[in-house]
Amino acid sequence: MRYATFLSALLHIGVFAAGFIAAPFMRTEPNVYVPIVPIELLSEAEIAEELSVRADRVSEPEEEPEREEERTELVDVQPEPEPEPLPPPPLPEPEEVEPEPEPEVLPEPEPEPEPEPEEPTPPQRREQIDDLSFLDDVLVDLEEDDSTSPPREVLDPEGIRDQERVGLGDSLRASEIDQVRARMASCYDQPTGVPNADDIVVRIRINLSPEGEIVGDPNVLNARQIALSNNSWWRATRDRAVRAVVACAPYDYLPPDRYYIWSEMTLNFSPLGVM
Amino acid sequence: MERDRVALLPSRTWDRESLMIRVVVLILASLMAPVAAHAQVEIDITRGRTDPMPIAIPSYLSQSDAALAGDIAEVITNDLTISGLFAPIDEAAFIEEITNINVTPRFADWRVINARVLVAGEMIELGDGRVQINTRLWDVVGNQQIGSVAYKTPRDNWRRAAHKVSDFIYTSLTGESGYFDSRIVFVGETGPKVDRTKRLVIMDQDGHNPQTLTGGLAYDVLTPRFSPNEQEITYLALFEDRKAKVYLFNIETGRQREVGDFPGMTFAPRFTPDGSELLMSIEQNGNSDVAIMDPDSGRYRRLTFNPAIDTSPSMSPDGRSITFASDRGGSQQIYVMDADGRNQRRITFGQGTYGTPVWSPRGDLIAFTRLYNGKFFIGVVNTDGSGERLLTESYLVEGPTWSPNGRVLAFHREAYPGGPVRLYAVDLTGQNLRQLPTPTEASDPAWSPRLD
Repeated sequence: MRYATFLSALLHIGVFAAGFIAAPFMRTEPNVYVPIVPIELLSEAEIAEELSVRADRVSEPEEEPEREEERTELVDVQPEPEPEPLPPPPLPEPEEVEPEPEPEVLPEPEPEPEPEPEEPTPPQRREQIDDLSFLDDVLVDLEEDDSTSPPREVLDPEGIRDQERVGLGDSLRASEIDQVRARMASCYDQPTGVPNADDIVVRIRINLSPEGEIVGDPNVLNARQIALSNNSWWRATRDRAVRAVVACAPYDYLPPDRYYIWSEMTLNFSPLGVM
Repeated sequence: MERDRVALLPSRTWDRESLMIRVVVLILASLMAPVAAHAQVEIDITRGRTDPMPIAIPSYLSQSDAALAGDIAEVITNDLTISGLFAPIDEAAFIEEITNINVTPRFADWRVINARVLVAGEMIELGDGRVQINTRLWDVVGNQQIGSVAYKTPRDNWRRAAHKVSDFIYTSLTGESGYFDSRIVFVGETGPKVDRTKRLVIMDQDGHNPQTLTGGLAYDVLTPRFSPNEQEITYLALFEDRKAKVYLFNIETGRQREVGDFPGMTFAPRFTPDGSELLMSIEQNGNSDVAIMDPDSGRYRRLTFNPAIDTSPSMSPDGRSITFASDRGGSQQIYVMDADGRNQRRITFGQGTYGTPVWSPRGDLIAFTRLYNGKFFIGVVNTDGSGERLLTESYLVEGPTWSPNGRVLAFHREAYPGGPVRLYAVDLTGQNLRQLPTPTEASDPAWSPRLD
């Protein structure tokens, strides 16, 4: 009797265990192919309506009532007629106050006859200097249109061009140039694996205040060439270069006594190739 | 009187001219003076950060399903991480909590945690079983919106929509087209090494949704290749009792068919860039040559007529050239020829042997495997043979395939003799080697084109 009970228990356990062991082998391979399900990309117009914030809006969401027009587009419910889209209120001065460039100390030569493009700028632009949203409309070439010719060669790995200037007193010293480069090495997210990287350069001119802050907008000197190039890597390099120039401000480590030299700088950014 | 005045005129005009010249010279001089006195500071920035770009991807917002919204952000985070070009920032570091994606974020809060870019998104259930996924991409350094995108899709398909968002972000920030909304087909290997069962498996590029395509079939599969523009695969079917055949398999319809019937053996089929024809190598009487075939009529024409072994053809994306491997020079090396077979020239001259050249979809590089000093390498070389670079090495690495944007190479790797065979991927700069998750051992990957 006791033996029979033991045997029975053993068999039951055995059957139970067998189920565990056998199950993985008996599993059938999943072979039902699920076809690709389409995804609808909202049309450009739809996106523009549904997804557009005012680029020049202030950073503080509290300061502005929610843009009803955008919300309503997204939620399909039409609440009360939207308020008159008020012009953005005059902004409070941002933390870093940008003084007018004061050329007091310096034997600055007469202001350059720069072909400043007329600025259709909303007033707050002057104040919020680090707002780059307006860059799109300053894509004006300050250089002559050489879009047909290959981009100029500016790579200067040995820094020979810079070296030549040292000692003339009209440029930065090599050590100062190295300092700018060292800072840029952490501000500039350099594109990598770019095809024909040697042909790509983004030339950005910035004007600096004596405190080393960027005055006005960084100018992409070859913006037109880039825009016409149909080279998306070049455009990405441009965006990253502009971001780097802004991120690296202030340039207050440059010698104040020679502000007249670095009050205006041109930086030539290049991407990395496949290597 | 009249005469006098006329007579006087010349000298006066001369005076006027000289005055004009002087004025012009003065104006010019005054224009140029500042330039001369104020030499431009011009600095070439050739070195920057090449570390992955820090990017903040908070959980997507949702009124109805926070879990799904979180999953969407997770898929995007994973995509961007595995690209090796982005470093998503740990959520614990975030200062601002995004509560409305249509309000400008507080850029300074994101700059403080070193983010360059912020992804703000929301998921809205549309009530008809679909979801809408809205995304804004913010440049927190330049304080501006980089772009925005919105997708509607059936709820169950949210993962694909998330991949499309990843593509959008990737493209916006790198200038390259994305590759996250794509799939990889490979040979799933099961059973002992000496008696492998090899089945065709397809999965999302990130390893999700693996599905066996030839599970019910009684033959092994080798060298699957994607059609560049259709959801169609060509592969070599191996039978126990008869010779290998080239098959075409439409994965949408599940229809498979044999392609042509050749007197000899056929190997290494690969689509031409327009998907209309197949390149392959055909073996007859012990000699392999490269041939091109119309899969509908089964007609083919040989492109090489060399007594050596010519194999592994791959066409350039512009359709003008074909690269292939040949041992006509002694050791197997890589060659390039015009699409009609003319102008055959060798492009690699290194020691060891080179094989399976694959033309990049970007057109600028040819990937290859190289056996040298008892080790396998995967490398790339410019199409004229210059600039050869080895990207990865192992006991065995084989079967390179390009991501649809030509940025990443997937391949299979056996780290030591008899070790497991697994899929890996590496960036074409040689960075970011990583394993692709597969349910079984896996070999011979083939990357699909973007789904779209």
